[in-house]
Amino acid sequence: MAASQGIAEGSVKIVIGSNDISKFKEGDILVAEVTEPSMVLMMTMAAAIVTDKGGMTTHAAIVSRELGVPCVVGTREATTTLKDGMRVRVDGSAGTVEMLD
Amino acid sequence: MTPSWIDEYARSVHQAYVGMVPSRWSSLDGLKAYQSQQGASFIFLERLRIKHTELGTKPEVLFKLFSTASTLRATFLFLAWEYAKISDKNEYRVLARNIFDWLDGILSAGMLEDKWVLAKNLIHTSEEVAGTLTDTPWIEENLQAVKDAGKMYVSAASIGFALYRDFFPQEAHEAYGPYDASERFGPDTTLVVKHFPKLKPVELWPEVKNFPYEEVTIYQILKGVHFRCELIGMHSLYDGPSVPNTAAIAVKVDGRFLPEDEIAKVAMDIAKHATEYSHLYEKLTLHEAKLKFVEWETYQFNRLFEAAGMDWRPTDGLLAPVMANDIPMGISIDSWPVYEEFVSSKEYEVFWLQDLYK
Repeated sequence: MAASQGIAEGSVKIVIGSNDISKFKEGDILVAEVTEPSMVLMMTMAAAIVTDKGGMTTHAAIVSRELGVPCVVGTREATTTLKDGMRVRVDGSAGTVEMLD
Repeated sequence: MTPSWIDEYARSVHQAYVGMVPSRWSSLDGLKAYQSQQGASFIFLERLRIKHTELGTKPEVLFKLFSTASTLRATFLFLAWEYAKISDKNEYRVLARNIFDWLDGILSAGMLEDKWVLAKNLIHTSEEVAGTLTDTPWIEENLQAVKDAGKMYVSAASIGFALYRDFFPQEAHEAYGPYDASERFGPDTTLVVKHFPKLKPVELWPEVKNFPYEEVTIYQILKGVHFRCELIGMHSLYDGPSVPNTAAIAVKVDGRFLPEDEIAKVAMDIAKHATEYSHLYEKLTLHEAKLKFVEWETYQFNRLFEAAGMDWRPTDGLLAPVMANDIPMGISIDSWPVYEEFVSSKEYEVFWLQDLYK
């Protein structure tokens, strides 16, 4: 589901909690089952946000629109299909995540 | 006669759930917690209603004692759910009607229109809006400041999410608007107010006593893009990208408008605290999480209780059923029924609200 407009490319980082900050770099693509408050620092650094679950008014969707970064929610499988380091293009208008590698 | 708010409530709640689902919430299953209380919430609030009725507190005054308008609407949501699940409803019919009628009067007194927020969340009078437009030290046509304000939004929202978790974040996070801003900013401009009160609830979390901030407000002027929201006002939606279509922004923290170069710095400070505080709830045992849920439940009304000279803290009547019942951590909702089923099925609260007023 397309939740926040825009297109961004970057490196996937699967995020579970705040400890993932050690591997997260500015411009990475934050991929999570759902977003949580423990991920706030990574959300402010992310080029785009992708989640397995969620609709237009779930946490990830709302904060992405406020940050002005692309967001795709409700993919059902992003955290299992994507792997850390994969390069992807997130189209938050079309609601798609394209693997570039 | 069935009150008109039930129909509006039904449309509003259905719209809100459709926007959230599929979803997973990691905190205590609040629906089961309210279900376990079997009418105790109505008894708890009836003391408050009677006291304020005796005191003659006006509904518009009571409205302002709620942290946000969405907290009041969420109260309906939780109480309606609890009522639907009461085994012996006859015992609670009068009580429930008393409470719902009282709350409806408060909501009607505080909302300017569209009180169930099918599109707008308006509580500020035209005079208040005019004052905001005139008196605010706006930062205009500055994309970096808008992006920094976005980081402030996410940081403050994360504090609210960390300290009130999935069922009560509206205590500390609200979006109001859209208000016409054309007189100050030209055609097709609107004001949206994003409010984060109660960011330092030391009564709930002594661990936050050194958190340096209590309240954040972001004032945003949108041009050519339109804002709307839902029952829970933070559920904001735009018909286009809001960041590049922001004509002016202002960020107020604890009564002080931040200069442009401070917004990002304060936002990052709040974000670091949010990361730290996010672990407070994660560390709780199930027993502690149950206690916390009931504290959250009653803390929604703390200022109303204090205004009545009463203690807002949980009673044994509220605590005992939650502690005694099997209530798990986490809740997943993968789908939501179509509107016709939602309003007619005995599984959901609308059927029982209509039955209550027969």
